[in-house]
Amino acid sequence: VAISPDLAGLTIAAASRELAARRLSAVELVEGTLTAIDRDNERLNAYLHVDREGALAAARRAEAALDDGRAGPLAGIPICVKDVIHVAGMPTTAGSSGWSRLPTADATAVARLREAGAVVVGKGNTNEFAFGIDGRNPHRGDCRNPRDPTRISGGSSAGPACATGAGLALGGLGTDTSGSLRVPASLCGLVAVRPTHGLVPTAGVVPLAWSYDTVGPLARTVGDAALLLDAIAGPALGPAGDAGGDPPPDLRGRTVGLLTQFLETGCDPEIAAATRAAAALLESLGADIRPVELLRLEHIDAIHTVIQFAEAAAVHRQWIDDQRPRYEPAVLDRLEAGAALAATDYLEAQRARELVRVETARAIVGVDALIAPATPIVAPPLDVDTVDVDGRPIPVRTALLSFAVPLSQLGTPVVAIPLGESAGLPFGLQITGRPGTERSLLALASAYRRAAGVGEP
Amino acid sequence: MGDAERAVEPGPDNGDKDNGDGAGARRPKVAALVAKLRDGVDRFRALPLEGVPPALGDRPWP
Repeated sequence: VAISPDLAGLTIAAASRELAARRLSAVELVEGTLTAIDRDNERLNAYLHVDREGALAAARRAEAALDDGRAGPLAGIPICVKDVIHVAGMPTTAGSSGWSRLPTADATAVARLREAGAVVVGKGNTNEFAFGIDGRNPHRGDCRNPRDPTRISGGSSAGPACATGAGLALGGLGTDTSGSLRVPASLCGLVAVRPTHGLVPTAGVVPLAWSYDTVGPLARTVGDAALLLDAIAGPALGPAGDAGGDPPPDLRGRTVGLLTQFLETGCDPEIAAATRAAAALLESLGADIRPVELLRLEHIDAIHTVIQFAEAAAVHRQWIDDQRPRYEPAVLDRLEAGAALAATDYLEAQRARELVRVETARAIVGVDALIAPATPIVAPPLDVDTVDVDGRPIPVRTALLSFAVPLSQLGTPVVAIPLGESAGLPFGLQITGRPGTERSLLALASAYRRAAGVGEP
Repeated sequence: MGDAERAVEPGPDNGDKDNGDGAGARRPKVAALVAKLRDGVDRFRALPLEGVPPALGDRPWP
């Protein structure tokens, strides 16, 4: 895929510098984005809806704000918003066949992006109702991987990831319930932040499962992800100076836990080796590396699935009878299964989740961050349902969720960053810590990226 | 979702791409999925849950 030469290497931070110095106009930047979309979207399926006139009008307003010296930190920055998140005046279809809404107000996270001056270019592709992890969409067309369009992008925040990776936006806004920001970030070579549960309001977002739903950014660099998170989290994130700001190159005194279970089975050996190498690099920067095991790991898939399916069934209960023939079969099966569970099953799952959360919190006292691969595999081809992982055939969905879901139980922030490539296909690293430590985790991520020599412009 | 939105008319259904629900073709798959979930419930119910409340809402980090 040809990536726009103007946008492919541009970061939000660099574009903002150019805009502020008046060497680039917001209108030029958005026009360049629209040109790239015209050229590449048909084969990538990143966008389900593009608001050309709205984006250009917003760019003109950003331009005026830049002229007046009252521009926000994201003035003129083109953003792709996942199509489960309301943007006033654009349809929300949640990637579905027939369900749609025409919101008259922005979701809170979108309103905050726009207040910061960002330009919402359009709505990004997603698995139907965000209830999938591969970015495939039988109704609207599969989202393609920007690094290899014969492969999946990962999902469900597929469109924002693809757009950001392909130069069809400078950043994206998506959601992460099970792993829907971290998985596409891993497969597309991007940075994502799953914020602390509850930090970024989910108002104006089509729910999937309330206990896990989060809204977060996708970006090309840690710095860009931090800029987007600053905007959507608002004052709840705390001032930038609280937890580091610029990353300290010296990590002495910081303890990083390596989640060793994920490296021993069910992981591509190349990805496992790269994760161990990342731990060694952090150790070389002074961090104390400690092996950590997640407790009750064998129960987590069942706990998560019961809670997610039951909550999703409750969300869809109001319209499932009208929409039944339109659902993707696998999604309908999950909703029907969720509806068949007893309230006591759901509550027992929430009790088990609380046990996991409390035990994990106690087990990691003194640990500043935990690291693990984001996915055990690189992006599979679009047409396969099973992948070979370390010599065993595993369903793609199971493989892609296997390292993301355990961390979703804790309600903690998770930063995903590019870790390496295998045969030209990227894979990522997850970094988590206690709730509210987003800035500290981003600082650690940035320190790692700089030390790894991959750059953080 | 709040009041600041309105529904628009649903689009066409899947037409030929019938998801099989009408014929009940998927019921065995759903039943198998439910059985798998209930098996998981039976296993995690054996955890030491006495005195543990459900993790509902945003609870403070222990």
